[in-house]
Amino acid sequence: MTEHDDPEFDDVRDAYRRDGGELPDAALDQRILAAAQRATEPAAEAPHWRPGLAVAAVVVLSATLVLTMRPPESNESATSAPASAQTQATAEASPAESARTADDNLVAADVAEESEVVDTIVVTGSRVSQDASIDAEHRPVAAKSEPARRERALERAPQSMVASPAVAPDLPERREQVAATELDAEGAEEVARQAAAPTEPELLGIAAAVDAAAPTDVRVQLIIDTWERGDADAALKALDDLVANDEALTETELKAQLPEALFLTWRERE
Amino acid sequence: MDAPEPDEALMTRYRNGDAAAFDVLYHRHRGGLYRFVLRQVTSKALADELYQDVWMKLIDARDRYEPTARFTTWLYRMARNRVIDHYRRSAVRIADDGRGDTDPDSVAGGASSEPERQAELDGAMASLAAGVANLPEPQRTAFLLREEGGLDLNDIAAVTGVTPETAKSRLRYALAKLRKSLEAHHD
Repeated sequence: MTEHDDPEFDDVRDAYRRDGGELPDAALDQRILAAAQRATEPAAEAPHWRPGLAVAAVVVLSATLVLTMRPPESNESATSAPASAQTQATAEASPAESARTADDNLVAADVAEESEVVDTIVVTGSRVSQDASIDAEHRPVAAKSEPARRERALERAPQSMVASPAVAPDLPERREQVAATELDAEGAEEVARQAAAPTEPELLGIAAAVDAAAPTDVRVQLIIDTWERGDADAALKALDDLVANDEALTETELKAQLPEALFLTWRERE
Repeated sequence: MDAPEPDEALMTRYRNGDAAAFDVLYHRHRGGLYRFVLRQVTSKALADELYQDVWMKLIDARDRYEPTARFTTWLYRMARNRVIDHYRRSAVRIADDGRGDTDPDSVAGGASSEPERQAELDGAMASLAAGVANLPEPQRTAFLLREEGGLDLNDIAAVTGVTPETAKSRLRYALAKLRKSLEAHHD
């Protein structure tokens, strides 16, 4: 009994306390004590790398979001960034190159501008909700008019890298010229590659040249390829040569290996 | 013989990572807290669940513990809040119509004992347990905080959000009703 207990009700309190009272089960005690124990163990704390990983994940997601939502022309700019960097190193070579260099500088400046936006995300993009606001900031930049972007890029580019307005024509026009030049270069490469490649007759010649060494089934396959490419005469001629040089090759074997149309055509011509 | 280490010191040690301090604290309060919860709900299983929740909440909140008030006040406030939260979620209204504070004959209890639990208690204890269960919630809480938690009137007032005078009045009403329950049994 304490000073707060009214002696008038001692009998009630005594009766209640005689009960002894129910207690929690041992299993329940163990669960709680185990939880208390776990809570104090270092392993129970979150690993230190988790916050860093979370920040890295947010940064990657934010960058992906920005790249995904960037307008197509900006994507072109980003794609041409390495080329422009290389071109800058060879600036002032010729008027044409100088024009292209200036154009690349504009593109590079655009890319740098975009990079600033991405950097902003890296610094502040710790929450997804911030991504939205950053992206909102990014949109007006991307939506600015082309002349305004070009003017701003010219202001930022080093003076030595910027050609005069007469040399550096309007940006879209220059981009078309650059694209055309690149296409021309690709076309020339393709022509050169085709010129260096052996022609079909040459392939057949190769097949004939390896008569002695090539197994019959390889020669048959070359003949079939020639036939399927549509050069029936070359295929039939090669087949004649094959049969003439390989007496052991029976007609039955040929029929089994050749397409039916080729075999019948060869037989009719025989 | 050394005096037992105060609850507040034990809890502070536990907050600082000493799990052994929690063991002492837990065994010191397990019976009282368990009965405090058990007497206010309708089943042992539910009491187990709420009792465990209270301790888990204490474990989770250990970093925020500051020994500015008695540990038991903090512990029983959490327990009472957990019981109230249970009833709110279950849409079961805890009987608290105000009559309990003014009418000692009111027995609008919110909790009832399970038959099997009652069977374990014989005679006078059975009627006393039934009497506790049938007390109006404010009186029952005041009584249990005093008997099971060992809280004084000021702490009961702090836990229940009333003045010490109101807490004292509720406690007296509760004891008077329980006496009637015992007398009814003897008669």
